[in-house]
Amino acid sequence: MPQSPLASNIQKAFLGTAAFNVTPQREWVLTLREMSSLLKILTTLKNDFMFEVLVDITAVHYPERDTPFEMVYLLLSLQHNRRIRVVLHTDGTLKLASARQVFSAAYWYEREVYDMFGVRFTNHDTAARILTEQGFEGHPLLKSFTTYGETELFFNEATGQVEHRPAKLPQKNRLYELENPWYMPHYKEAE
Amino acid sequence: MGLKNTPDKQTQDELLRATMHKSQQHGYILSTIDDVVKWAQAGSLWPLTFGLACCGVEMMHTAAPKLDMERFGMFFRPSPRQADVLIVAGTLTNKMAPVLRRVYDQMPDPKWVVSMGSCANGGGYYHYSYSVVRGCDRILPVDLYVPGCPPSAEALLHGLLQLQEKVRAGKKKPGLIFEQDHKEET
Repeated sequence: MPQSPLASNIQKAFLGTAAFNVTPQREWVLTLREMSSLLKILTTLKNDFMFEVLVDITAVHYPERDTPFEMVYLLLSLQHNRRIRVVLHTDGTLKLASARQVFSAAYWYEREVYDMFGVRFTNHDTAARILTEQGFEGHPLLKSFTTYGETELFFNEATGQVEHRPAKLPQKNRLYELENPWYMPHYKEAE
Repeated sequence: MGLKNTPDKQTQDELLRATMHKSQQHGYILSTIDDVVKWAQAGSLWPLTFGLACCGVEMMHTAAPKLDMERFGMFFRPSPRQADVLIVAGTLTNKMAPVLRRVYDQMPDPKWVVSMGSCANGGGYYHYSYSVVRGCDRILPVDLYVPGCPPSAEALLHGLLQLQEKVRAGKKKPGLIFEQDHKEET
């Protein structure tokens, strides 16, 4: 596949530190080999390649892997009309370098990633949650998290406070059958 | 005067009818203080603007010119201090629950609560979510439930008219329904 000058420049610039790939959907993916090079790469992408907008930071949890967390940084260059995905694998034990000094928008995204996945970042005074309520325990987007939660909220008339109590669901979560019995190929085979 | 001197029911009724007839000719009516208070309360139910989700949009439609809830003496107040009715319009999340309770506590008595839509009634679409309260009656005592997802503006207005009936009848508030259930289980 013929590459644009920008793509080959990016590939050359990060030759030792990251692998540049183009997916079949023509998305640009930059996979980092080491956690430590993250800030350097984000800075280079921002200053030298004009990827000036940090669209999102998120993560994916793969519990079966040695490095269960795949951090994803989505960058946008308005100048080149291009998006690039910076991917980083981590086991979640070490604190990641905060991208806040490169992109100030990173702060809330990183708090969200901590809230949802429990991945911690340096340069944060406290690991403050952002989406869930005060006193919430656990990280909802981990595969081990119970979908309906461990606790539910009740108002305690004795104390005048809203409090957490262990969750009890009289009706269990429904499992939906995704296979349609009237789906054409099966239907024909049965005949 | 004592109970012994009280005339029997038939005589009472005749007496009352005669007095009513007389009073109507002279331009006044007889009532009890309770009835007057209930009449006044039912005629000026001021709900609090508390839209939490898409139900909030239907709640706004109830106040808009087509249905015009002001003709029933209801109009939205921005402050809980001035409100009589709390319409829980939408999904009550765990994060919002203490706030909702505080807003309810800030309202002066007498106060009523209308739970609007599936989410407020019992969690609805988000019943199996970790971040949503499965029914606002776990946090507040609810007087009236309006079903629907979201209920139409007409449905909410119908509910509010039913609430007026309830106020006129002077029904007492229920306790926290789920609170009681939970205690029985444990």
